[in-house]
Amino acid sequence: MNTKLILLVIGSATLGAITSASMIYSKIDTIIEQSINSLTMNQKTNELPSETPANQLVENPAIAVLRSEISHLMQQISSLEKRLDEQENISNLTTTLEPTKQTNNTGPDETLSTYTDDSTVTDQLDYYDSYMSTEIQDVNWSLETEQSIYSTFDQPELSGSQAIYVECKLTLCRAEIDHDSTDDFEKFKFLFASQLSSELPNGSMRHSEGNDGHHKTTVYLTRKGHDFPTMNHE
Amino acid sequence: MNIKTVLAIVISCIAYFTLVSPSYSADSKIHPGSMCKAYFGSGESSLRKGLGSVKNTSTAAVWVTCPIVRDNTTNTNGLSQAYIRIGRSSTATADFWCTLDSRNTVGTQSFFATNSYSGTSTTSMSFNLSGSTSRGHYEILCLLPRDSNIFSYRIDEY
Repeated sequence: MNTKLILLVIGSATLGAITSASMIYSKIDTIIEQSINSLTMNQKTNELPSETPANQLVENPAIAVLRSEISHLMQQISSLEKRLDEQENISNLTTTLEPTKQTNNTGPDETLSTYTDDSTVTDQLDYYDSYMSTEIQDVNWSLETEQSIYSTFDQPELSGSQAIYVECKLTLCRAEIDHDSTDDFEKFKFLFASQLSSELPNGSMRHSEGNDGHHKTTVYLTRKGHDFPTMNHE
Repeated sequence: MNIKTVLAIVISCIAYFTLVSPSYSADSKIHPGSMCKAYFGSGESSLRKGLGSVKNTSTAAVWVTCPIVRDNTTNTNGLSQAYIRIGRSSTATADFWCTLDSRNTVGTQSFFATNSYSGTSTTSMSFNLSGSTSRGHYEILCLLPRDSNIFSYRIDEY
């Protein structure tokens, strides 16, 4: 009971103090404002007319500040124009190099997103490729694992898919697979990873379809207990 | 002495909400197993849904696909955590195998993390997905053995 009362008193006192303080601050503000106004009025009425050089001297600091700000803004505009030119150059280069990606899409949003997807993943897979080239080889593990990957294609369900190239190093494996048809690719998607998940649980896959109807998949797989190497983004 | 205690509690609460609350910024979602569907349409009749879970009532294993709602649509470092709550029946013959995939907008490129379970109880299978495609989607695909269940699945985004 006493505690509640004490808390109530403390609360009221705090509230009162805050209210008083704010009132005092507001009064001080008013006094300062009035003083400034009166000084300005005195300057306007008692001092020289605006055309005189003396008054120009009084205004000079303000003009100097404005000039400095304008100069700063001009620099910023110039820098932004340069960046815009660079962006346009990159955009033109992309259009030249990737004409099909631009024409095959239906709208601007899709164009942007599709291009971003492809470049991001391709960059990552290329990074895994270069990372693999720096890895030393765990000879026993790599030979054994490469054999396991090849042997997944022995099952009849994967007869429409052929391993063209398989390589394992220390923490990563890379495999290139050809598929006879879309159905074969679909079967591969399910069966390949499920056969290898105990030793190679994580992976990344890039799939492409050639003009002749053949499908090609590049797969990167990580050794159990290891993650994909992290790519340093800008 | 009492006032000191009250003040200590108030200060502790303020400190807790100020310092600890930001750790909840990770986006977690738990989806019911009943959101899963048969990957091949013919398998749908084998699935029974109830109490938020999905069960394979046929004698053969069925491929199922479980959708995931993605909020962080541009990150490329995968998920901070993901797992699926499952139950594998003692009558099952196939392993309970699942893959968590991150695919690009047209499905031609993907990152995946797999796991499998051959025991006969209710358990959690976790996935370590360390890569994802910007603006792509996530999905869990499972080979659901006979008489076995998917109860729910959870993903935590960065």
